[in-house]
Amino acid sequence: MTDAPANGGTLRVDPLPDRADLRVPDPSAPGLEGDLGRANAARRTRAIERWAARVPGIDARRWGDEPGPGQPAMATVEPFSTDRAQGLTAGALVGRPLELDPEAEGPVGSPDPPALARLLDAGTDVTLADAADLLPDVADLGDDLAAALAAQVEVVLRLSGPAPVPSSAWFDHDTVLVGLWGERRLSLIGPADEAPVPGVSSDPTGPPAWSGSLAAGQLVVLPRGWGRVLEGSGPAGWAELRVRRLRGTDVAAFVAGRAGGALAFREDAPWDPDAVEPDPTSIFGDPDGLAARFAELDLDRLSATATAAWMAALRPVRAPTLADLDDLDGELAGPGGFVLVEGLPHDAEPLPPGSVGVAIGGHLLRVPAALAERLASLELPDDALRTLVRQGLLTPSRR
Amino acid sequence: MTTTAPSAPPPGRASTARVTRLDPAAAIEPFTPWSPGEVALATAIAARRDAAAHRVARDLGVDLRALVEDPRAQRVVDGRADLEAWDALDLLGAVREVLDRHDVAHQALGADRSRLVWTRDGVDANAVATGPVAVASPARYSPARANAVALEGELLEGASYVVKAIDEHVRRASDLIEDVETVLGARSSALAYLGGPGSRGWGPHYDNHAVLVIQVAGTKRWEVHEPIEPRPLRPHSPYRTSGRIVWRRTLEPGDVVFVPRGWGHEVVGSDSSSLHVTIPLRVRTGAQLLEMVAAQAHEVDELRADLPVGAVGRATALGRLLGPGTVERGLAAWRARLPSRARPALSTLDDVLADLDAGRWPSDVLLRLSAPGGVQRSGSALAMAGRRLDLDDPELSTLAELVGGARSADLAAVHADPTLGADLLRAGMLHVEPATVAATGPVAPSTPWPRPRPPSRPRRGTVVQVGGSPFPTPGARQLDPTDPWEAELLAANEAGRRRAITELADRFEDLDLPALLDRTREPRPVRARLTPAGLHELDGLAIVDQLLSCHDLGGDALKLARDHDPRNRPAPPALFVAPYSTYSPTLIDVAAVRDLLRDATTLIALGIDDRVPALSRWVARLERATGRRSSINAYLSHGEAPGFGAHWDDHDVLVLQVAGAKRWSVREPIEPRTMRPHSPTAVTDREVWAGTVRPGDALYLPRGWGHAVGSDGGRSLHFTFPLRAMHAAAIAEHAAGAAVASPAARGDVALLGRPPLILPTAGGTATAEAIAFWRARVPARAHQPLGGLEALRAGAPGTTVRLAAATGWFGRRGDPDQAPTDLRWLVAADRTLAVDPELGPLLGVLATTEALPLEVATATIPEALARCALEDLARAGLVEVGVPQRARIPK
Repeated sequence: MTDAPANGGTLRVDPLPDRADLRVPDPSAPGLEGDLGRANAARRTRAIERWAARVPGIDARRWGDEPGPGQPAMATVEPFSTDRAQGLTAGALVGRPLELDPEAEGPVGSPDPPALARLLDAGTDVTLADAADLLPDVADLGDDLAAALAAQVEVVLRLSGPAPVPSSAWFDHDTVLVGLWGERRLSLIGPADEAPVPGVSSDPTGPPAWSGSLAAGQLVVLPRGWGRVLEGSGPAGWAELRVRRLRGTDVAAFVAGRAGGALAFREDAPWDPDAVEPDPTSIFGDPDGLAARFAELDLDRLSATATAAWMAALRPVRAPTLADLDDLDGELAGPGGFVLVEGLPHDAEPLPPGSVGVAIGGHLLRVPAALAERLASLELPDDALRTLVRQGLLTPSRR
Repeated sequence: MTTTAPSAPPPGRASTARVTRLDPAAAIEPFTPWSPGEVALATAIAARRDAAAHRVARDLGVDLRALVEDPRAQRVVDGRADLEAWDALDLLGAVREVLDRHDVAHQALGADRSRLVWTRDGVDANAVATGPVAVASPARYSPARANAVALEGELLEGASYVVKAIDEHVRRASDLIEDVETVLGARSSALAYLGGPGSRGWGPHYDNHAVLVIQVAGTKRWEVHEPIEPRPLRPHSPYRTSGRIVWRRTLEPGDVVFVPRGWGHEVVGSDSSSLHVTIPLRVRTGAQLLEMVAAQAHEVDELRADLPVGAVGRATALGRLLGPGTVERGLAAWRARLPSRARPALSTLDDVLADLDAGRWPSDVLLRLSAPGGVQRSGSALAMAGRRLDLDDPELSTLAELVGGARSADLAAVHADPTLGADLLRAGMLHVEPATVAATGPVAPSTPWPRPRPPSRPRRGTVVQVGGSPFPTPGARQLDPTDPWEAELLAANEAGRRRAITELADRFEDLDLPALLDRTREPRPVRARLTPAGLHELDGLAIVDQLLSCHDLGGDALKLARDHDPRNRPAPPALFVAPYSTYSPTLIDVAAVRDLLRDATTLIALGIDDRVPALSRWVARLERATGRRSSINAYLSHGEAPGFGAHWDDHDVLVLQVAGAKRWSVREPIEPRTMRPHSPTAVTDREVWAGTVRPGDALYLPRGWGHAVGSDGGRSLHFTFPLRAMHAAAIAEHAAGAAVASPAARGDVALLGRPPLILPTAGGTATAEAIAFWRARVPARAHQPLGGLEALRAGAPGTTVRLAAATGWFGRRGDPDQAPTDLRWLVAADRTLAVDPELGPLLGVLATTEALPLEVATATIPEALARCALEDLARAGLVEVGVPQRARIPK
C-alpha cells in the first residue's frame, strides 16, 4: 500500500482486488468517464504511432481493431543495433533462469557463460523467459504493442548455437519474432484451424506458405496457429514477443466464475440429478435449470465487466529501472488504460467517501475527488505522481 | 505365495492398452448400462456404495447418504460412533503415528502445503509448526517429524494444531475416507484438530464445504451459527458468521456432527486438551459446474477467436454448452477422475503379479477395486479412478466381481482372466488383502489423553534449553574426570556405551565390535552374522513395504542407482503419485517402483531409520557404541542391478543383508586410509573377499575399501549403516578453525614473514575437544507419542523414559553470558542445557540405561524435580517418552 499526501486528499494505490466491479470508460460520456476514455484512446494512438515509426508497414491499429488471428507480416525494425542487443544480453545472462529442452542434459537455473556456450554447442536451443530487461529496445516495442492491442505481452530471448537442430512450433497466441544477431531460415505454415488451441486443434501441416530469413533487425508477425520452422547454422539470437489478446473463452470463464455470486448457482449438486424431483426454483430441479439460470444472469453486464477486468489487469512489459523512479515526467504505463471501479468486493476496504476508484496496470487507485478530474491528463501534484511512479504506473521512457 | 492352478486357463488378452490413463481432455458421460456385463458392473457399484454408506452410518452414527442425496436439506445432524468400530478405527493412534513418523512439519513448504499448522486465540491464521514441535531434520532426506510431547505442551499453553491428511498415511483412516468418498462421489480427507484446554482455535468461521466432525479425545464445546445468507460460498459471500447460534453442544469422544456448507461454527476447548477429526464433504456446487463447462468454452467457435480492442465478448454463447445433461456430464467428469485409494505393498504386488502374469490367480488373496467415483463412460470405454478401461463383456463381469471384493480362488473358479487383474493392479486400482482377515485382537488398556494437570512446577532449578543448532561456540568438551559431578556423568556415559556394545553384540553371532573400533591397528573388512532374533527385529521387507505404501518420500529421500554410475540419481517424477491437494504428501506409485526394479535399477531409500522407531533404536545403539553418527539406507533391487559399480565410501559402513541375496566383491583400498578427493570409483583389483551374502549376513567395510555389489537373482534388500568417524585430518581442520581464538592466528601474515604456528601442538587436548565437538552433534532420536506429556505429569503406569541423545552428555567450554551461576552447563545432541546440579543422578541413570520406568527415573532425585526435568528434556527432544498405546472412548 502506498500513500501520498496530495492537495485535496491522498491518492492511494493498492493491488486491484479480485472480484471488483469494473467498467471501461466511454470516451463519449460526460465528465470524468469521458476524460478517462479519451485519455485511453489518445494513449493507444500514441503507442500505435510509436510502433509505426519503428515498424513501418505493419498497422497495429488495424491489427487490434480486427478479430484475430490475422495474416503473417514482415518488416524491418528501425532503428536497430545488433551490437546493443548482443552486448546487453551477454552482460546479463549469468544467474538467470533458463528454459531448456526437457531432454537436454545440462545445468538448469544459474548457468555460467561457459556452461551456456557448451549447451549451445551441443545443439540445444536455450530460452530465457522474462527477458524484457535484457532487451529494452524490444521491450519498448512490446509495450507499444500491448497498448495498441490491449494484449498481454511477454518478451523471451531465444539463443541458438552453431549447429542447432531445426526447431518447429506453433502457438495459440500471436507471436512477433525479432532477429537480434545471426540468421535463420524461416518457413511459415498455415494454421490447421481458424482460432486454434492446443489439445483441440491439429498441428499445422502442408507446404510452407512463406519462406524467408530472419536476420538481425527483421521482424515477423506469426499469427496465432501458424507453424514456424527455423533452420540454419551459425550462432543466432532472436526475441519472441508472445502476444495474448482477449478472446471469448476468457470472457466465458470470467462470467462463469462470477456466476457463483448468484444464489441459484450456490446450490450443491445432487448425487443423481435424474432423481431430483421437479422444482423450477432449483438449478437442479429442471433438466434445463443450468442453462435457464445462466440465461437469467445479466450477461451483457458481466461480459463488459470481463473485458474491463482484462484491461485493468494488463501490466507494462518492461519494469522501470531504479533511475526511472526519480523521474515524475512520465506517461501512463498500464497498457489497458484507465478502468472505472464501480464496486469493490466485500472483503476489500471500501473507497473513502467522495473518492473515485480507478483501476490500471493491476492496481486500484483510490483517487480523492479533488484529484479525479486531473487524473486523465496526469496533471497531478508531485506527490501523487510519485505514488504512481513508485508503482510502475508511469514510465519516464515514454516522454 | 501358493497358487491355485486354473482348471482351464482362460484365453486372457495380452496386457496391452486395456487399462490406460484417462486423457484429461476426454469427454465423459454418465454410465447407463446396456450389456449384461455392464448391468452387473452397475449393480456391483451400487451395492458397493450401499455397503459404504452402511459402514459410515454404523460406525459414525450419521446417515451420510441421506444428507448428500438431499443437498437442499440444510441442518445440523449429530450422531454417535459405534464403540467397537471406534476402537478398531483408533483415530488417536493414527494421529500419533502420523506425527511421529511422517513428514508433516516441513517449514519450507508454507502453510498451504505443510501438514502441521497452528494458531491460537481464535485468530483465523495458519502458521507452520516450528521447533521444538517440528523436530530438526538430521539430514536433507530426513522427514520433518513432530515432537508430540512438545506439541502437547503447546496445547496446554493455548495453541491449536491441525494435522492434515492423516488418511494418506494410515490405512484404517484411508478406508474410512474411501467409504465417505464412495458415498459422496467426491474427494475427501481427514484432518485432525488438536486443541488445549479453553483453546479458541481458528475462531468463528464457515467452510466452503460441509463437514463431518468426529470428536476423538477430550471434549470441545461447539456452537453452530445460522448462515449469513442462503448457501454462502466463499469468496462470493462475506467471510464472517451470523453469530446467531442454532446448535450448541459439548462434544464428547464418539460424538459425530454434520455441519452444512456455509454454516458458521466456533469451537472452544473445554477443560482438557482434545482432538477431533474433520472430514470435508466437497460436493460440487452449481457454480463449480458452470466453471467446468466454461473451461470447455473453446468448443464454441465464436468464443475462440481473439477479440478486437474494445469489443465486448459474448458470454451468451456459452449457453450453447448448457442444456439437458450438462449437470450429469459435469458430475460424471468429476467422479471419473476421483483417484483410487489402493496402495498395495510392493512385496504383495510382486507376489500377486508374478501369479497373474503367469496366467493364474493367486490362491489366498482378496482383491477389491478402488474407484470411489464409480463408473462413467468415455466414448466406447469406461472411465474409473482416472483410468480408461477398454473391456469386453466377460471382463466387465470380472470387474463387477472385483468391485465388491473377490477371493482369488473364486475368480479362478469362474475362469476370470488373470491378466485383467494384472492390468488393474498395475494401474493402482486394486486393494490386495489376505483372504482370511485375522480377528481383531484385544484392545490394549486405554490411555485417556490428555487430561491436564495444573502446571505447578518450579521453573528454576530444572533444565533450561539455551540453544540448538547451529551449535553455539565455543562448543562441547569432554566431561572433566577431575570434577566429581561431571565424573559421575562420565562414568554413566561409559556404562551406557558398554551396555550398547553388549546389546549390539547380542544381536550378532560373532561380531567383535570393540576390536573393530580399535583403530590402533589398520582396520580391515570383517564378516559377521546376525542372530535370527536380530534379523527378525529388522523385519526389513515389511518396513520397506510400509515406507513405499504410505510415506512421503519426495525430495531427497529416494534415490536410484544403475548402470555402474557412482552417483545417486534423483527419483524420476513418474515414480510418484500426482498429489491431489496442496497438502498431499508425495506418495509412491508402487507399481512404477516395481517396473523400475525390473529395469536393472536399485532403489535407495535414505535415512529410513528416522521414520521407523524400531530402526531408530538400532541406530541409536550403534551411535552410542561407536560414538559415530549413523543412519540406515535401504537398497532394494530385483534381479540384475549393477547399481553404483565398484566404488569406495569415505566412511566406514556396516552392511546387513535383510532379504534375498547379493554378490559382493571387496577390494583393497588404493592407499591406506583413503580420503576424498580420490575418485569414488578409484578401486584396486586386489580382491580380498568375494561371495554371496544372504539374510542375516553382515559386512563391515572400513573407509576406502572398494566394493562392487551384484545380484544373485530375485528380490534383494540390504541395509547399510554409514559410520562417520572423526579422523586425524578432520581434527586438524577443527583445530585450525578453533585457532581463531588465538590473536597470533588472527594476525595478518607479512608477505615475506613467517606465518605463526596456528595448529595447537597440545595434541591430546585438541583431539579430545574435536572428538567431543563431533560426537556431541550426533542428533537426538526421540519418537514422542501424543499423550506422553500427560503420562509424564500423571506418572501413568507403564510410562518409560529414554535418553534420546545417542552419544550421552558432554561438558561445555565457557559459559554464555546469560548463564546462571548456580547451574551446570551440558551439551547433548546439539543442544546446550543449563541444569540444576541436583539433577546429576537422574541424568546419570538416563545415560546408563535403555528405556527405564518413569517411577525408577523419578526415584533418583526428589520426584517433583525429576518430573519437571524430564518434561523439559522431553519437550526439547532429548528424552523419549514411552506410553501404553491405543486409546478408546471412555464408556
